[in-house]
Amino acid sequence: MQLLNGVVIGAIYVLITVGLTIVFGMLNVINFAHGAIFALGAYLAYTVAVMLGDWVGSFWLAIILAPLGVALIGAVIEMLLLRQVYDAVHEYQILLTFGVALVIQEVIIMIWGPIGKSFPMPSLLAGVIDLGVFAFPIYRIFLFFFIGLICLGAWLFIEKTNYGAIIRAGIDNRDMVNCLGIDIYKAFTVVFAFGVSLAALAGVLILPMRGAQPFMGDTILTLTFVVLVIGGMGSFMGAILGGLIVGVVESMMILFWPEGAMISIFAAMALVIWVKPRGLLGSR
Amino acid sequence: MFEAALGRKKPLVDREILILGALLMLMPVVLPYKTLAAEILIYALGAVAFNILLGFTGLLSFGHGALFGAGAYTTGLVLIHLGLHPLMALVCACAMGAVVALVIGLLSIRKVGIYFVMLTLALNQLAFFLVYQWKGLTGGDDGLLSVPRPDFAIFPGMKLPIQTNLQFFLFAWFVFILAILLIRRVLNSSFGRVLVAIKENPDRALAVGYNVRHYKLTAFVISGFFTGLAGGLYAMFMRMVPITAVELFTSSDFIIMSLLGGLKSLYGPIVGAVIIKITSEALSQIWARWLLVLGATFILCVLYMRGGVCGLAQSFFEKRKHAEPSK
Amino acid sequence: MILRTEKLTKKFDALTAVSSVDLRVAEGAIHAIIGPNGAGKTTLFNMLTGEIAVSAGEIYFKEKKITGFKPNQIARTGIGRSFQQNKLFQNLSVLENVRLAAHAHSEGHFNLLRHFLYYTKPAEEAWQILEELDITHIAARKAGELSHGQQRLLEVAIALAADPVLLLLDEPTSGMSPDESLRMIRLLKKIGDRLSMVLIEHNMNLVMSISASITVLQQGAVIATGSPSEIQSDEVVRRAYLGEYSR
Repeated sequence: MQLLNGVVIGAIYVLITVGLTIVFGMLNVINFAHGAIFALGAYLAYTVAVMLGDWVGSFWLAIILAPLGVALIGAVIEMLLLRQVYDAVHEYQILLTFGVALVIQEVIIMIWGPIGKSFPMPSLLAGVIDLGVFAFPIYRIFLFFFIGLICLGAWLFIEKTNYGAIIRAGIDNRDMVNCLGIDIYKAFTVVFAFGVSLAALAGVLILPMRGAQPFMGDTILTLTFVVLVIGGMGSFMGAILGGLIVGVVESMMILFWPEGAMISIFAAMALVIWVKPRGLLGSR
Repeated sequence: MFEAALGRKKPLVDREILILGALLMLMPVVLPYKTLAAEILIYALGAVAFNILLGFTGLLSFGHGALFGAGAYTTGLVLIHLGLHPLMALVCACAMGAVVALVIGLLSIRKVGIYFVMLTLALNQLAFFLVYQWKGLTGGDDGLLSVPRPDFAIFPGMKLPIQTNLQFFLFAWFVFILAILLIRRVLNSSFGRVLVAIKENPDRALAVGYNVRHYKLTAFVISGFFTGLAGGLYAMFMRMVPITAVELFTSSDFIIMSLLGGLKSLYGPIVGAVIIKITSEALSQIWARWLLVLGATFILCVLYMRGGVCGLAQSFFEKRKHAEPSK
Repeated sequence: MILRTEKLTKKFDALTAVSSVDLRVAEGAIHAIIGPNGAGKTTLFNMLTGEIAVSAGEIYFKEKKITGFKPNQIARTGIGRSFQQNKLFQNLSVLENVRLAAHAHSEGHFNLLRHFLYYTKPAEEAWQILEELDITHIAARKAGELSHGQQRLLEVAIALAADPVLLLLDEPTSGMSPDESLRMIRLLKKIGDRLSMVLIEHNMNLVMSISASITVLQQGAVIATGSPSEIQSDEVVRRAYLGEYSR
């Protein structure tokens, strides 16, 4: 059963990492604010639920509204701030997004307070399914398939649509694409907004399971990096593989050696670096 | 023409260092608390050590909290359990900082650019977890308590007291100045110049024959050595080691101090440390969410002030020099 | 042969960028590699200097195998290289750019405590190179502030700093005005008297006037090798590449 738990948690990691990978793959920027945005998504969903008062249908509304809200915020961040550092060395981009992360984190505490919030399970998905050997929460099954769908959709969008092709061309030669009359900068904004909305979505999805805390962003960011290192940068499949591995390792270790769960994850990462520096499926 | 292009050799102790030393010596007089003065020195040292990597080699490390903490815990532990001479305790801190830097470096320098940054962040978190879990040794969340600060003897029979805040500040000041002299020596050495080349164009540095990996690793170890030293001072300063010493937040402290003060100069991080420490001390009294200001500072520096305060000052003086005809 | 390759090949997944190239450069000669854009010339160079891995084949320098050597190891064997796109230390002075390159081959480059000016040899060597290239008047200027022509000269200067016996130059005159190109041609002739050179070039004036031998690449494969006159009269080459020129 822990194995299945691990896969589900892994799915959450996958979703976040895919968002980060999209932004990196398309914009060549590592967004250090990704974790803070994950937290923001969770908190926004919480607020949606509180504002609506009616707990039951609000979850579904939150799944739509929170990522949308975050997408908007992301678009603003991209247009105002990120755009100015596309030509700078990576270190400056990282520092900028790190600053944004700090700001978001503090704003979260300012608005919602320093103590965590909890969120009840949506009634439609509450309860367990009897799988013979053990009972497994329905919500987690839903999570897995929902995330799978989203990832599929994202992949299709990037690989198969014209828009995706434009973006891929824009990475290689921004000015050229611009000259062709295509507004590459608008495309970049869309991609960034999309990438961060995935993180926010993950935040909403994890809300009924683990609630929301102001510093959840930090831990998730580290885990996302571990996933990237293990799976390999710039690779969609790598993000999926890495996310699942990390989720499974974490859940299995909780069974045998709870305190060592995090340490085992890092050990796995160190192992991958040593043996396969590009990550298991890395391309860059 | 040749000499003009080449530049001059700087002596070990010159006007710059004397002015720096004098200015820093003013701190306990000017600042409201002497403890703040000592804390500034400690963080300034850590930031300068950090900047060896970022400003001079082009490596952004989020792992310096781990190095700082390594030095702090090592000093704390040897003072508590082994009762070593304080100077020896500091040497142990340096050694441990260097060793941890070596480990982090070996793992991280395999990768370039972004990977490196991400790895150092992850490894810093790992260090945090290790410290947190190993309660027996480190005290975990509560921190390592009751670190002694013994007076020590340099010459037989003569004990140097470091008990009061002022006395400790003077001690820290000596250690700081010595460390800065040494760091400056390294940065101006042949090795240091190659680091700058690596920062400017690592591919070309490799192509002209430098083993870039060796240089990066050595730079990391040196940076760790001095960051550990700062940590050791911190343990003696606080008479304890809080777990925040290993936190990511300490890493980002060094980063913002270097960024704000000026990455390109040896002294930039010192300026940054002074500004950040004083402002955060002042702000935290009136507003609990002053971290917001810190985050905003990060953003503003990256967007508008990449050279930091020192960079601004430098371009200001250069404009004046070009505006006036030389006398 | 100072430089020799055997069936040197580079594949990027399905694309074969360089296909079974046999290169022969005689000692003391100036050898040119020409071919249309995309022919694989720079990829070939990148394999010679270790920037990219070799898919198949071997490289011999002075009859010693150097296949798979890393760029810094290659530099130490006595091969200097300039790049098609300038790879300069942008914020450092011209003199410092060359001095750093020179110091890599002198003692004391890993010294942590001695001031870098303590070692006078690299600086003197660098100055000599600047004199040879006649760019001493810009010695103190930052590399990033130079004109394009000056930057291309600096590129060559850095390659020379290692005191190499073999110089690999990738389009040294690219982007230069006719005057600057002439200067470069004269310079290369002078340098070519004392060391071996392999040039990638599109400037046919340069190629025909100073090369002892030429290799023509098209789509990664060698389609002709020989002296300038042989190449100029070769039908295959004319059709593939020199079409406009021969008219």
